[in-house]
Amino acid sequence: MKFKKGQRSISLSAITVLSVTLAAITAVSVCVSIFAGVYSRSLLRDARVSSLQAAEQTATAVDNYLDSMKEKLSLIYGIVLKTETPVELEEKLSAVTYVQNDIFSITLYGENGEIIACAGSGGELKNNISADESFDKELYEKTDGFILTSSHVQTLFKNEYPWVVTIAVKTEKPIFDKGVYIAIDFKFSEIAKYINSVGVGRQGYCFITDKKGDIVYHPQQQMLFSGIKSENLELLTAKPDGVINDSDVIYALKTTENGEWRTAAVTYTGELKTERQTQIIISVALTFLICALILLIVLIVYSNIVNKPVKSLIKDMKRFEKEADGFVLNGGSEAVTELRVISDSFRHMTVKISELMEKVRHEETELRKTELKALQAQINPHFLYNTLDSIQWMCEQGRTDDAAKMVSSLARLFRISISRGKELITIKDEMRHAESYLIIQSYRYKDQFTYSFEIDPTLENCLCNKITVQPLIENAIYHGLNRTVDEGEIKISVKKAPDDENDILITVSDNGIGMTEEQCNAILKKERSDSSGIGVKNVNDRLKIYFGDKYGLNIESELDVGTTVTVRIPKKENE
Amino acid sequence: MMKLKRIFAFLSALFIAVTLCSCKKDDSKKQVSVIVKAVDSDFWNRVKSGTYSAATEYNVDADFVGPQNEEDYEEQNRLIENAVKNGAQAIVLSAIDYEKSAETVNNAARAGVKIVAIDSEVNSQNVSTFIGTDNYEAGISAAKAAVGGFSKESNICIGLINYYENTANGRLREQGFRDYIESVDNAVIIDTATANSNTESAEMSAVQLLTEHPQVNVIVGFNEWMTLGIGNAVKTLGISDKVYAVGFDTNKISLGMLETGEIDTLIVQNPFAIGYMGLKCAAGLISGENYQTEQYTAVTAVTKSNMFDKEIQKLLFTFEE
Repeated sequence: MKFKKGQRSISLSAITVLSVTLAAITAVSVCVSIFAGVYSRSLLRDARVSSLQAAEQTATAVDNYLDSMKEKLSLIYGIVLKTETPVELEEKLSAVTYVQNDIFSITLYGENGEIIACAGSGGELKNNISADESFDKELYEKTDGFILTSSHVQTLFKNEYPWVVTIAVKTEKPIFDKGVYIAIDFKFSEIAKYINSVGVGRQGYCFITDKKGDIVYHPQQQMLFSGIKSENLELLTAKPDGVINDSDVIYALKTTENGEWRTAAVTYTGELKTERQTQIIISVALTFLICALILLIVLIVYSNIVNKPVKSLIKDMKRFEKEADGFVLNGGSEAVTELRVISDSFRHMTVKISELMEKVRHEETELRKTELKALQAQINPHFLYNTLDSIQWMCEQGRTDDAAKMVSSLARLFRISISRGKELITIKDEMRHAESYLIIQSYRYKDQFTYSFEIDPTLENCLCNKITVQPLIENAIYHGLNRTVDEGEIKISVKKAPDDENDILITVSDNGIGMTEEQCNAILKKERSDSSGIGVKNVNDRLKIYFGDKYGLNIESELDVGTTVTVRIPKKENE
Repeated sequence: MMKLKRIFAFLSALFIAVTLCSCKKDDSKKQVSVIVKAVDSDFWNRVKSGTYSAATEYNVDADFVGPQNEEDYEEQNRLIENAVKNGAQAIVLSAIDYEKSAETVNNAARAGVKIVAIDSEVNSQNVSTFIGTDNYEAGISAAKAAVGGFSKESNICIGLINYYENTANGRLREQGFRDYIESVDNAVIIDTATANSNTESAEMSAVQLLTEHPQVNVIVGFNEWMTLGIGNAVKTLGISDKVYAVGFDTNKISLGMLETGEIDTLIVQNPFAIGYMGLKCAAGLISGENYQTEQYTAVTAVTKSNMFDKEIQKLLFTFEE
């Protein structure tokens, strides 16, 4: 079965590979996109949650810190109350600032910010203080309880400008007549340590603002101050506590319990995004590779359990196409149900076809046999008439012996011809049949030919088709012998085939006119013209039908030398 | 079947390779050398702090070096050569000498090192970008501050104290200053002195200039050291009310002088940003990015009256933990 040119055909395995690949890729793509979506959402959610947690924790820490600052202020307030003079107070407070690392200075202010007593860990107090950032009259007067300033530069000491935050409290009654406010300037060291240690994600951090939105402490304070970095403080100030998304930054806000400061945790989603992208790319690549591997394994297995049987089935079919005779189907061990069904059906079909062919062949043979039998049953009317004429003539001449011999030969001829309807008779009978014919013919063609038999006695009891030799002798008498020249000679021999012990060769040879090669070939193909009796072709056909192609007639002839017809039959003993 | 097996083997190898690759990340740090004029002033400390902030942020291995004094260009050239030898991928340079470091810089560039100039330029085509103050404009700002406090009728006599004459930024500042003063009718530059970059040298020059020219009522110093020298001179001579002093850059001492009146205006640069941007650009250049040739950082004129403004506080006073 060949496809026409231009007619495209796709193999089963290609279709399977394509569809499996498509399915796998589609499945993987869908899975990955779903996975990416879920993953990115969960990442963002995690980021929000962790930001909020960081903000809350920081707020608690800052709260604690503010509380501790207030406690320190209360303690100092206690010290102030127990002190007699400003000088004594400064001495005491100096000691405190040396012990407490995060206290930069402690100041006792009058109502308008005039310094009554001041002690600090810094150097020398300025003689002429032009600006005091720690004292904010408006704020101080307005606030009840603890007063908390924004972060600012401390300006009271010579050549010292530290960043501090001031916490102050109004005294209940004036100290040393004028003292109204006690203020502590706190350095950021303590809170900075904590804030710097807070990490949110890889690049995230926390910072503190006051309620106005000014930064109190930021881990990258110097970058903010230098304008390299900025925080979206306006946005943050306007929003309540919670999580805010701002382009690729997540802010989590939490106001401390006393409401004075707010903590903000910052997470960069950009960083999440790039990380996510590389992770997704890697996982996609891995998934694709895994899929490809699985696909290959599947293909290998598939080709073993499906493709191979299919191919072998196709091969079998082609073999069957070429040579249906004696076909035996391989396979039958297919693991795939459908293929097994196909294979079984095909097997069934081949068996059926073989049976049918056998049947047809048998029927044909039977038909031929019937035809032959009908032919065998016919008696050449000319032969019978001529023979009877000869007998009559002998009787009239008073040659009763010859007549009797003739009649007995004729009778034997007919008897053996009939042979109770059997096809195979012994070679001995066949030779007697041939001899009877020769006897009759030798009376008719008086002294025109002689004949001789040469029979291997061990073969006499073997079987051969009846009326095999007689048509050959008939042919030799009528067509082979040249009766006008000299006496013809017909030799009949039976012997084992020299090339095969199990075959028998029967030869009928004459010394007549001989035949050309064309005539030899024609004689085996031509039906007998008078359509009665059995022709040479019939003998040949019959032998082949009975014993197979190997057997039959072989004609050797040379012009003016003679013709030898050889019959080859298998050796078959009569049981 | 054979083909399938071969593809199978290939895919397996690829699979392993990808898995390995995803596990191993590129951890190599970029190597950047920051070479400045000196390492002991407040200005350079702030540059250094900006440099290290950026180094942390951009995962750069940075070292920060400079010669002992701000005139030693030979030592600076040696530092450049060393940096190249030690495998720096980029050099951030503030050149002492505009001309005399050019060759060294070109050699470094030929060796494949990217060059970023900060603060003060060098005469080389191989500098990828300059980051720092627009020094000419800063000079104009100083000039505006110097004449701003005087009425149109008054005679403004100006004395200048500048540093090493081959340094680009000092020359540009002076040029900007001079160009602006030329347009002011009642102002004239009486004298210009050159001092080494240390307080004593600057003070000596300033005292000499102020004594030689008693009519001088404006004195200008063009860097941190000149400013401190002027401040000291004014204090020593006791003429803080008579002389209007303009300086550059800040430190605790000069800020104290601003408060007490020896110095009247400070032209303040943004050294942290210069250091930060310098290193950031160096890292970017190594990664193959491009930047415009000049990236200027802002300057601010600070006086006693605005020095504690909230924004200026942030600029003037470093945050120390």
